[in-house]
Amino acid sequence: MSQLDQMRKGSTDFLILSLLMKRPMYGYEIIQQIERQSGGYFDMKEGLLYPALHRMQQNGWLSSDWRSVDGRRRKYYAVTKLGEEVLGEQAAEWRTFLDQLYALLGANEYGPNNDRPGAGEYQPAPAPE
Amino acid sequence: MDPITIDQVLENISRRLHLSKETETEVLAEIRTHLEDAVADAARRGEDEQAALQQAAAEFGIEEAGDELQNVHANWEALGPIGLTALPVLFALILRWLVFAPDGSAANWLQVLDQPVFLTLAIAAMIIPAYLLHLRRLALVGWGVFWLLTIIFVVFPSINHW
Repeated sequence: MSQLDQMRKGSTDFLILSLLMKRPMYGYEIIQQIERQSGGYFDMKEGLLYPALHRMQQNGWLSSDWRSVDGRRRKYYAVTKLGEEVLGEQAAEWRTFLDQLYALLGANEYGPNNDRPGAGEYQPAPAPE
Repeated sequence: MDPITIDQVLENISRRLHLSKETETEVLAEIRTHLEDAVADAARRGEDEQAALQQAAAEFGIEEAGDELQNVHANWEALGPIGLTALPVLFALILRWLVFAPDGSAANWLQVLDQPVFLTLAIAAMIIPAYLLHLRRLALVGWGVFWLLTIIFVVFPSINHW
């Protein structure tokens, strides 16, 4: 698993909770929305989504109910009160993580606020003499 | 690549699951809807439905998804039998505590039947496993165990005290 895949996997719960805060959704819809809203950057695989949804439901973060829409029965997930609290905690953790990361990056040539040409692009450190 | 059907995909996932029938049926029903949505979307876009199903099945990662779902639910389902074993024993112990005084003398069993707490216990022994653990058939077994324990350890000893 690549580093990017690991980062995506690590953000699965946060992404799902954030999305479901807007309204209840079913699995296929969650995948579509995540892909659409991230412009394809987050491409959540079904094999990752459903175990995550079921685990989050068992943790009490999500509730679910079966609804018939357009003649098809679908399992809709919604965020519970506990899920809202978890989302708040995770959002704070992500904010701190990103602040710290940007603070570190900002202090060197890879920083996001560095406006020199090529800033933000990876360049290997010069080999020691 | 050989053509596949949704039923075949579900059967492959089902082989990796060893859960209660109720849980497995619900998990597979959800995956079926997902695959049907993927195929219907492909048809709307004018794409080949079989190719869409092959892709959806591949993205599901049958082995990984099956194993992950098994792990998620197996851990949770293990709590059911533990609870179903513990609850009847707990309720029978409470009942015994109600019937027998600390000095070993027993209350009249028929008087205990009239007490609201007895009714509450009997209902709780049925409702808690059935609705909190979602294992209705096992809840019935647990309720039977509760009565068996009650008759052996509460009713018979209290009759001998009369």
